[in-house]
Parts: sequence; structure tokens; C-alpha cells
Amino acid sequence: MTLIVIETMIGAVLAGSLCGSLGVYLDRMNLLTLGFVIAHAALAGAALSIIFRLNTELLAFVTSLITVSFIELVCAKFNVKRDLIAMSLFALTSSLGMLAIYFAPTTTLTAQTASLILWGSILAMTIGKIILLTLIMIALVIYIMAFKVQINAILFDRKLAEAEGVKVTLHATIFILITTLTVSLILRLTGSFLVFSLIYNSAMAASQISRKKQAIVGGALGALAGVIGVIISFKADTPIGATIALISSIILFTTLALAAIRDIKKRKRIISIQLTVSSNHQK
Amino acid sequence: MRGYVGSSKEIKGESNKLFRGGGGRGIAIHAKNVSTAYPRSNDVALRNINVDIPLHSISLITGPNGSGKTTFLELVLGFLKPLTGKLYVLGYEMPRNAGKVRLQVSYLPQNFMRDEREAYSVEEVVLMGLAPYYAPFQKPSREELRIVREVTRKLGIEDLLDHPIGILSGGQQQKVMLARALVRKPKLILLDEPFSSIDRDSRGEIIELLNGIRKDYHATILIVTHILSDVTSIADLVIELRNGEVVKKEWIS
Repeated sequence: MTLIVIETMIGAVLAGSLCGSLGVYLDRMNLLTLGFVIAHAALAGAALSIIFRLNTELLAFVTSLITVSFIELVCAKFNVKRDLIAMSLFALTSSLGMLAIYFAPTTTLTAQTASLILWGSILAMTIGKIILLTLIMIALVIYIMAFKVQINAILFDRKLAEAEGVKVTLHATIFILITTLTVSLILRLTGSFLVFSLIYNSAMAASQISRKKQAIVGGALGALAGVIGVIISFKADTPIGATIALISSIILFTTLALAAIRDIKKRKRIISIQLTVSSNHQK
Repeated sequence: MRGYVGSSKEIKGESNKLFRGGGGRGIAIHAKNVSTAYPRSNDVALRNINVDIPLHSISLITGPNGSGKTTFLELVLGFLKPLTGKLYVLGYEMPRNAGKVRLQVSYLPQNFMRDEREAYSVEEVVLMGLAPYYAPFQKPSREELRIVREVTRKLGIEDLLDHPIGILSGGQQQKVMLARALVRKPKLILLDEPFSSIDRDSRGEIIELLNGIRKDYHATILIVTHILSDVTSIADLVIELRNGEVVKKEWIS
């Protein structure tokens, strides 16, 4: 295996596991829409970075952060529903990103640069990014271990935790910040359109398997999608972002099907027990 | 000792300035001409509320659906702001001091029922009540685990500590949430429709428990309920709301 393959593989595992775990926390904190907006605001930032010849990851991070802060500010000041303003900004940032790519001078925008931002590239993962993603992973694990009881209280019932004095807004902000950082760093690996699938699909698939270990399962499924996606992308020469997203979708559909079969079997078992009990009573 | 026993988190200043009601009895909740409305709503949800809830009392707020019962609890917890008037909870002006007040209050929400997928164990859920007092990396101490066992024993759910909360019945889940409220050793307990999802026998049991809690923990208990029949036997004060206004205040001897 070449160094590029190893780097991409490690990067995909880190990206998949981070996105999968973060997706679970965002989902159970009712913040998944914000995760969606972060991913698409990063696209606008990345597209603008082409025009202004600035660092893509930095501008993607700043744009996402400004967008999320704006949403929270508008929600707090004007009592607008978060989902409403979030989805409006998703449309706005996506269209801004597209316009930026469309109007970018041809001297700075090559087809390769545009596709790298939109669909991702196997060449995007560097040692520097791997180190940064590893640090984010370590920070996330330490943070979750440090505030395990508080985070569990929020996941169990956000409003009750807030009523009891847990700093819910602070913890939600920390998760949003970590998500923003992660998305900005992996944007060029998965592509801005598909990064959200790694967050969403893995979290939803994990919810079908285990509620208690959902974050760990979500991370594992995200990492699995990353590894399989990279292998197929190298072997079949397919776009890496789309391949990873496709694998994570297949994993989600598989878990949904398995969960449906499990529920049918369980229901049949319960009904047969009830029927046995009632027939015994009649005797 | 940590916050749940009310020592290290004791808040100096305003908390000592508890209002004095008739006969020098302290006041846990003091509302004077309080009106409020929900965000994005054009309707006033509560208007000109004048209420004094005495310390260590059991008070009931009753009234038909939409009369403002739960809204009053949201005001007390600082989730809503008074549009007019002043509201003091445990001596603190609200919602300015919501953070301090919430650390001394336990709340049992109306919709606490969890489905069978909820995998947190009873012990984990009860310990979540202590979450705001924990420092980073802190784990439950032996003393806290002993208190959890003691409280759950009183509520008759000690043998369920390892069970996932999702598989328990409505009445059992209610007791778990009550245990979570009690391990905090709160000064004020707010219960929103605690009898709505349990049968008559369990209701009688919970009423007896609440009476015991008042005596053992010296807590002020405020219950929002539309079921009055048997709970009035332990109540000191019944406040009736209708269309967001107090229509009746009755002291029970």
C-alpha cells in the first residue's frame, strides 16, 4: 500500500468515527439540523476560499461558525424556530457556494478544484490533518468522560436537565464547535455535499442497533463506511466522497431492515405469549 | 459534602432574604402582579398572579386544561419571563437568578414516560439528578450511592436499580423520577401532573410518599394537578386557575 492509501484510510476512519459519534450526540440533543447547516455553510466557505485564495479549511470553519452563531442569535432575540432559520440558511449558504464556484475566475478555478470541494478527493488527506483529527478525537473522548453524567442527563431529557441546573447551552455549544472543526477538516476528503451523510447515516444506523452504546456504535459504523468506501474508491476508481456516502447509506438500510425483522419477531413472540396466557385462563 | 445536601452550593446573599408571610412563616414563592406570555404568542398566558407559597407546605395548583398551571411552573423555573410584576423563588428574583434557583429545585415533568428502547438504568437516571453538582471526571461517591439506595428503598424501587427505565411501568417510572428529584435534597419540589399516568392505588401510594417527603426532607412541594379528590388530604393550600387568572385560593386546615 502506498503512503497516500494509508493516509486516506486513517483519515477516513477518523472522519467516519468522529462524524458517527457526533451525529448521535447532535441527534439526541435535537441539534441535527444545525449539523446539516454546518456542512453546507462549510461549502460556501470553501467556495469563497477559491476566489480569495485563502485557506479552505479555515474559511469553511469560520463560515460555519458565523452561520451557526447567527442562527442561535436570531433564535434567542426574535423567537424564531431554530429549524426554520437553519433550513433557510442551508439554502442560502448552498446557493452562495454554487454562485461562488460559478463566478470564480477560470484562472483560479479548475474543474479539479471545484470537484474536490463538491465531491471530495483521495489526495485531500495529509499527515497534518490526520494529526488534527486525532487531537479532536482525543479531546472529544476526554470531554465526554469528564462530563459523562451531565451529558447523559442532557441526552435523557434536555429540558429536565436544564431545569435541574445542568449547563445545557454550554455543552450543546461544545458539541457544535467540535462538529464545525471536524467538518471543516474532512470537507475535502468527503466533499461538502456528502459530509452530512457521514454524520446522519451512522447516527441513525446506530440508533437501530444500540441505544446505550449508540455513540460508540455510531463511531464504529462511520469508521466502517470510511474504510470500505476508501477501498472501493481505490479499486474501482470512483469518487471517494460519493463512495463513502453510498456505503454509509447501505449500512443504514441494512440496519433498518434488520431492526424491522427483529421487531416483527418480537411482536410475534409477545402475541403468542399473550394468546397462551389467555387460553390458559379460559381452561 | 456536596451541593445536593445543600452546603457547598449554598448561595449567599438574596437567599437569606426569604419573604415572611403571616405569622412570620417563610415564603418559598412570591408572585406579585405577575403576567406572562409564551414567545411567538399574542395571548397572555397568566395575568396579574398574586400568590405566596409558604415554605415547607404542600400547595396544589388546579384548573382546567389551558388555564396556565404548567405555565406557572415554567415561570418558577425561569423558562418564561414575567411581562409585568415581580416573581421571587426561594428569595431570588426570577428569571435573573434562574441558574441559582434551579440548583435548589427539583422538577418532575408531565411527560417523563420513556419507551422500552430507553436503556439508562434506574440507578443512572436517579444519579442524573446530581449531575449539575459534579466536577469534571467526578464519579458518584459511596455516600451518594448509599443515598440513592436509601431513597429508592423508601419508594419501593430498590430492587429495580439495575433495570433499564424503559421497561418499567408508568407508576414505577414515576417513582424513579421522584427518587431523582429527592437525591438532590431540594428546597422546592415542583410536580407537573404527577397522577396523570398512574392508577388509583399507585396514586394513593404517591400521595403518602409526598406527605412523608415533606416531613423527612422539609421541602416545599408544589403540585400541578387536575385530579383533586384524594390529594387535598395532604395539601395546605389549593390555588385554582382559570383562563390564566387565580380565581380561588383556599387554605386547608
